[in-house]
Amino acid sequence: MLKKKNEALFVGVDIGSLTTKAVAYSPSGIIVTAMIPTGVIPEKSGREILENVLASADVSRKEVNAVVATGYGRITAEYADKTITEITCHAKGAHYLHASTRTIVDIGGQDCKVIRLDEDGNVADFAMNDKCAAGTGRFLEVISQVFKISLEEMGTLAQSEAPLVPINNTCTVFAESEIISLLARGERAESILKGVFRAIASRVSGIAARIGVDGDVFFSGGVAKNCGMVAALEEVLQCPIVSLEFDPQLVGALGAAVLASELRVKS
Amino acid sequence: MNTSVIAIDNIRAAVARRPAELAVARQAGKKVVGWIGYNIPEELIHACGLIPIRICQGGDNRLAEIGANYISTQNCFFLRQCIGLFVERQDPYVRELDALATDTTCLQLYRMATLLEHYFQTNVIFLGVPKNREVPEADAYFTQEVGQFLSQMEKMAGRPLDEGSLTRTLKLFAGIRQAITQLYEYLANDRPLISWRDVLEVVQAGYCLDRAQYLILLQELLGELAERAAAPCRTVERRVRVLLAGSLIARGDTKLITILEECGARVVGDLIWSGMAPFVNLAVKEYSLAGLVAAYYSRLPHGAIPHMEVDNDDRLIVLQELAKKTRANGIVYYSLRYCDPFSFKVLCTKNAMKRIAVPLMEAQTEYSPEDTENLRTRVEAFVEMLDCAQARREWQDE
Amino acid sequence: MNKAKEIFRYPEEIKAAFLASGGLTFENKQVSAEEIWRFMTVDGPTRFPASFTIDPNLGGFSPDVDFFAGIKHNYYRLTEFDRLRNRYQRGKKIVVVQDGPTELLQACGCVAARPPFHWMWAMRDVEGLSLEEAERRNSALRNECKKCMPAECCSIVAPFHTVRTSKAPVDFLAPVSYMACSDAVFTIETTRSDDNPVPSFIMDFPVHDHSGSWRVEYLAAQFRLLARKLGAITSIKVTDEALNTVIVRQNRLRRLARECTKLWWDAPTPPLNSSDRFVLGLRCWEQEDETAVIELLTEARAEVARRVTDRIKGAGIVDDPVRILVCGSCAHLNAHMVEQAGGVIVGNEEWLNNMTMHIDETGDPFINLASAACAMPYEQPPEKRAAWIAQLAQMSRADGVIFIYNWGCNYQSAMARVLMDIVKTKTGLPTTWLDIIQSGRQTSGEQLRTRVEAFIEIMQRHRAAKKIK
Repeated sequence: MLKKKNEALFVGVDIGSLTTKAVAYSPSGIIVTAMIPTGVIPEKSGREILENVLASADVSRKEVNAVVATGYGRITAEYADKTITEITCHAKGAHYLHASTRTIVDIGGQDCKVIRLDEDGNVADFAMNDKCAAGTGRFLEVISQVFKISLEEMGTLAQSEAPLVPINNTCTVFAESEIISLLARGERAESILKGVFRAIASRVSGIAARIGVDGDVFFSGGVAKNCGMVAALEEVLQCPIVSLEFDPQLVGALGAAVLASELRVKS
Repeated sequence: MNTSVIAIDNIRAAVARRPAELAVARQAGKKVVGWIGYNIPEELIHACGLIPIRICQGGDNRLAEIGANYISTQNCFFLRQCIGLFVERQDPYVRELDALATDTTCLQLYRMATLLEHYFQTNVIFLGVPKNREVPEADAYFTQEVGQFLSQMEKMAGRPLDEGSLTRTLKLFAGIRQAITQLYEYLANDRPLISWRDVLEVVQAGYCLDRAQYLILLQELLGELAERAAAPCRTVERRVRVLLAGSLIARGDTKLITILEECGARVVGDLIWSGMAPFVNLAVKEYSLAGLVAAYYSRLPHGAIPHMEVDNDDRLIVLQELAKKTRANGIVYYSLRYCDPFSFKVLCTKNAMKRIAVPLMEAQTEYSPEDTENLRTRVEAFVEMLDCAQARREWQDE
Repeated sequence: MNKAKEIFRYPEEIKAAFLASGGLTFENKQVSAEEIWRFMTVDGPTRFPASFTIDPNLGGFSPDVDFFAGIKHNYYRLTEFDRLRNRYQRGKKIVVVQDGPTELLQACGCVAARPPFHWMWAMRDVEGLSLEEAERRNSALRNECKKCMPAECCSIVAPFHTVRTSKAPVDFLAPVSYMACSDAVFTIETTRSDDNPVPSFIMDFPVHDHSGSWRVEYLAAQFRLLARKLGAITSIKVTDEALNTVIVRQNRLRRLARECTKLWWDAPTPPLNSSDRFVLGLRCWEQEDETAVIELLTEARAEVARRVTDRIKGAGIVDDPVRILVCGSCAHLNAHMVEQAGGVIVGNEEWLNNMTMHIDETGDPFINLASAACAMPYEQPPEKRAAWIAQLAQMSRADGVIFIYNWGCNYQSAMARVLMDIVKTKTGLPTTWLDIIQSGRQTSGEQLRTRVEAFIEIMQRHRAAKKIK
C-alpha cells in the first residue's frame, strides 16, 4: 500500500535473535514490511532493514516521523527514537490486528512469552520462560535436525492420526536423545512429532497458567506459522487460536510502528 | 552510588577499614562469630563480647561455580557462593572467623553449613528454629535452642553473659532498627537524596561494622538527610515507583538493581532478607533473654516457614501495607534459581497484591550473566506496563 | 515388533505348583491361590495391560516366575486400590503424607498415602489402558501439575496436584518436613489459595541434632496434635494403648523384613533378582492388609531360604554380579538395566531406613514415635548418615554405592557428594552420584544407562583388583 501525500509515517524495527523485521505504517494502514536474517551484528541488520523499508516505501529518513526499535537487539538501535520491549510491542501489534485479543502467545527462537492485554491493547500481565530452550523455536530446530526434515514438514506429519507418544524430558538436549530412543523402540515419527509439539505446548501452558488465559488468543512469532504447533496449542489451551492473514513474525515490528505513531516526538 | 552525602562516604570508609580492624581485634584476643541465617539472635553474640559478622556476599558466578562442586548445581546460588567463599578463603571476613552460626530456618542453608563443617572444618554452631507454631512446645523448643546457642557463645567468650551487657546490647540494636526504619521511610519520600542502592549499601554495612559505631554513623546519616533539602526537581519523565520483595539480594549482587535503574524505575523500598525484612516486627519488649527469644519467635516469618492460611499470613499483610505506604506502582519479586521457599510462593503473593491492585512481577535469576538481557526485557516490560498505567491514572485525574 | 505392546504371561507350567502354595488373607477373608492366579493371568492383563508389558526397560514384572511370593506381591499391588476404594467407601479416611508416622495414621483409622501412591490411584482410576495410553495419561497429568509449580520443582512432588484436583480421594494432608524432602511442604503450601483447600497440617521435623529432650517433645507434640485433628474427621480418639498396639505390630513386620533381607544379603549367590528382592522389604500401610503382608514375607523368607540351600540364583542375574547399594530418595534404578550390565541391587537406603527402625514399645507412644523419627539414620547430619550407609554397604557386601536423586531435589542433591565422599573413605568402595528425571517409565534413558554401566565396569575392576591383593 502506498503512503498518502503529507501523511505521517512511522517505522517499527524488531531485531530478534534470528531475524530482523520492519514495518512501515501510516494512519491509513501498513505501507510495507520486510524481514532479513539478523546475522552477527544486530545494529547492522537494523540499519539495513530500515533502509529497505524506506526504499520500498519510496521515502527518505527525514520523512519518517518516528522509529521505534524492539527485540533483543534494540539496545544497539541508535537510529531509533525510542526502544520499547517486544512484550509491549507484541501487545500493540496483536491488538491492532485483532482488537478482541486478550492473550498473546509468542514463541520465538530463544524465548517464549505469554502476554495478557486489556481492551486498549496495553499489557496487563506477562510471563516468560526462564533460562531454558525448552518451549522455544530452538527446541523445534534441534528436533528437525534429528528427523532431517523441515519445520513445515514436522508440522504436517504431526497432524496425522497417529497416537501421540509423550516426550518426558524438559531439557532440549536430553529430549533429543529420548527421541532417538523412541525411534529405536519402533515408535512412529508422526507419533513422536505429535509428542514434541505437545511438549512445547505444555511448557507454554505452564507459563500461561501463571497469568491466566483470557479472551481471544493470538499466536505470534515465527513458530506460529507451524500448523503442528498451532494445533497442539489449541488442544492444550483448549481454545481456538485467532487466525489471520498477517505474518505472525511481523507482529512485534507492527506494534513498534503503531507505538511510534503514539509517541509525541519533539520536533 | 550517591557520593554527595558525606555520611555515606563515612560509612563506606568505615567498611573499608573494617577487615584490618577485625584482624587487629583478633590478635588482641577478640573472637569473631560469622553468621548466615534468618533467625540468629545476633544480639547474644554481641552481648557476650564477641564480634558478630553477617556473611552475605553474592553476585559472583565464579564462586558459585566453585561451590557447586561441593553442594550441587541444583541449589540456591547464594549458598553455592557461600561455599565458594570458604573454599577460597580470600574474603577478609571469612578469613577472620572463629565460628559460623547458622539456623535451620532454611534447610538448604542448614545443609550447606553441614558441608562447611565437613569439608572445611568450620566450627559451625547450629540453632534450631521451629516451623510449626501451633504447638506450645515450639516456643519451649526455641527457648531451649537459644539457651544452648547462648551456652556456646559463653564458652567462646570464656565467661557467662552479663545482664548489663545484654541490656546495653538490646538497646543498641533497638536503636539500629529504629534508624534503619527511619532511613527506609526517608527513601519512600518524594525526591530523596539517596537511592535504594545507597540504602542497601548502608544496611549491609551494618553486617560487619562495630555496632556502636554503626549506630552513630546511621544517626549522622539521618541528621544530614534531614538538614539538607530534597533533591532538585528535574524535568524527567515520570518515574515508576517499585517495591522489591522476595528472598535476598546479597552484597555484590547488582544485576537487578542496575537493570531497574537503567529502566528508569525508582525502588522505594524493599521487603527482602538482606534489606528491610529482618527489621520488621522484631520488637524486643522486655530487655532480657526471655524478651529477646520472644521477639525472634514472633518476628516476620521467613519464606521457608510454611503458613497454611492466606488471610493471616504476616508476610502478605506486611507486603500489602508496605506497598500502600510507599505508594509503590508495582512489586518486583526477586528470587534466585532453586530458592524454593520463595519461588513456590510467587502466585499466592501475586494474587494477594492483586487484591490491592498492585501488579507483581517475578524476577527469578542467578549469578551468571547469561540471563541479563532476558531479565532486562522482563523488567523493562514491567516498567513500561506500570508507566502506562500511571499515565492513564494521571490522565483520568486531569 | 514393538515390545511395549506385548503382554507378559505367566507360563502354565508353574500353575499347579502355584496353586499349591496357598493364598493371602485380607480382612479375615481368604483369597485363594486360584483366585490370585486367575487375576494375574486373565483379569489383571485385561484391567491393567500397561502393567503387563514384557519390555523390562519400561517396568513390567520380574521374569522369575518361580518366585511365587513375587507373583503374589504383584497381585497385592495391582489390587490394592480395589481394596482401598472399598474401605474408603466404608468410611476410611485418606491422608496424603510424605512418609512420617504411619503408625499414628493407622491408629487413627486412616490410610497413609504417599504422593506416588496417590498418583497411582489417580492413574488406575481408568482401566484398560495400554502402556502407550498409560504413558500419555501419566504425561498429561504431570503437565497439569507442573502448571502450578515452578519449573525447578522435583517431578515427584508434582503428583500433589492429584490432591488438589481430587483425581483420587483425599481427606487430609499431613506431610512432615523431613530432610528427605522439603518441596512437598512448599507444594502443599500452594494449595492454601485454592477455593476449597484440603485440610492440612504440616509437621516440622526439628533437624538440629543434639541430645536435648526438647527436640523430641516438640515433634511428639505435633504428632499428638495431628491425632486430634484426624480425630475430628474420623471421630476416633487415639489412645496410647491403641497406638502402642500398632507400633508393636509394625515393629514385628519390620523385624520380619530384616530377617528376609539378611538371608538374601548373606547368601553366596543372590537368590532373587533386584526387583524380587524389593518384596522382602514390603511395608504395611494399612492395618487391614497386615495379615497378607505377614503371609507374603513369611512365604518369601521360606522361598529365599530354600533357594540359598539349593544355590538358586535370581532370574536375569549374571553369575557373580557386582552388588550395588543404592542411596538417595524417591528415585530408583531400572533393575533390568542394572542386571543386564552385570550388577544386582542389594538395597535401597530409603527403604532400609524404614526397615531398620525400631520404636520403643513401652511408655508414651508419641514420645517413642518422635524419638524413633529423630534417630532415623536417613535424617542425620552427613557424617552419621554416611556412617550408617557404610555399615549397610558392609552388611550387604556391596561392591559399590550409587547415590541417585531426582532432578530438582535440592536436598538429596546437596548431600550427594559429601555422603559418597565419606562412604568412599570409610569403605574403600567405588561411589558415585547421579541425577535422574523420574517422569515416567522412560526415565532418563540412555544417559542413565551409560553412567550406570560405566560405574558397574568400575566396580568389576575394583573387585577384581581386591581379589588379586
